[in-house]
Amino acid sequence: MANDPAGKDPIDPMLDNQTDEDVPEDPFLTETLSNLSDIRVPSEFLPNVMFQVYERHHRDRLSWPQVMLISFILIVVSTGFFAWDVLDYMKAEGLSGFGTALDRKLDLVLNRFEGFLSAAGSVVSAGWQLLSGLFSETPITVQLGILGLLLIMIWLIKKAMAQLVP
Amino acid sequence: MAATSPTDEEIIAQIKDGSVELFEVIVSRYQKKLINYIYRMISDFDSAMELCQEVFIKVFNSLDKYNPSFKFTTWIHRIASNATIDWMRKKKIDAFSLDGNDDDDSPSLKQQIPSKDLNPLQTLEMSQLKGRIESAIEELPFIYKQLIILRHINELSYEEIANTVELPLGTVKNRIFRGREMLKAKLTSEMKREARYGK
Repeated sequence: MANDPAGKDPIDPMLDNQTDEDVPEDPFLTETLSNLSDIRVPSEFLPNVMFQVYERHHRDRLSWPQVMLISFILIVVSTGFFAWDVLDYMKAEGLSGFGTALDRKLDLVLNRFEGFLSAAGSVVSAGWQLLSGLFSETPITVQLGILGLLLIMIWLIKKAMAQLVP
Repeated sequence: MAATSPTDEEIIAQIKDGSVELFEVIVSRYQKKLINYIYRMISDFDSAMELCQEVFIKVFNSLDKYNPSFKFTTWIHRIASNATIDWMRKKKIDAFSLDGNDDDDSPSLKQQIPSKDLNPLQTLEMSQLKGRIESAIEELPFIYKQLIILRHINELSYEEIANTVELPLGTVKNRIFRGREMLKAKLTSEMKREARYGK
């Protein structure tokens, strides 16, 4: 990378081409400059840097099977929490079938604009985090394509669920 | 017998072999130098901290590209130098402006620890002198300021500076010489002005 950020150099090029010129030292100035106070480094600087280093290191070490396993665990856990929520809803509303309760609960959540926005936002955010971590070297267009595929899959799952529940 | 501490290059080799925790040694060795360099180049303490963190992360992420036949000091300073130039470009700072800040010294520099073994008056005079020098450095054009800081504050050799900024050795020596002359001229005129008006 060029040293010259503005692309201009006021130095005489003839002088610049000299390579063996001895620069007369100035001991007084050198001494004065070396005695200038150091900028104090905040104590949290080192831990902050190391935290980011470890995060990066662990992310780089994740293998595909580990990613799949983590994704599977997260899906199972979130499905479990959602099922628990539906069961609570069943009790509160006095419904007898889980399918009916699930259908109503989904309608309730997705029909509310903020709810839909929040759910969609969470999926996009989580998908993006996953993609940027796993495909950091992949071009942005490919990452967006994968994200699009993810959203289509979510939409298809939702449609399939709607058909399953009468 | 005192054990010699491993060189940067040896530590980097171990980090590449998986001892990531040793990167802490690298950060400890270079944090002060890089923050001093970046802060004096951009004169913004918070941004200097942020930029310096980014530099260390960039260094860590690029370790695979580091060629151990070159000095690590040069390599890390080059990354810091390029990151600083990129930051200045993004902020559209005119790197060649001769108009500096008229303040005597920046807030962060006022907080520096005074030298020991000086009486209060000497401490004050020393502090004022340091402030004047800091201002004079800050007012130097980019190309001189960068080299003066690398040479006199970060204490790199001429060869290391030439490798850091990717300029011929002769150019580096010339610019440092000119930078010093400009610095001396600025300080002399400042002191003459103060003597005339009896500050």
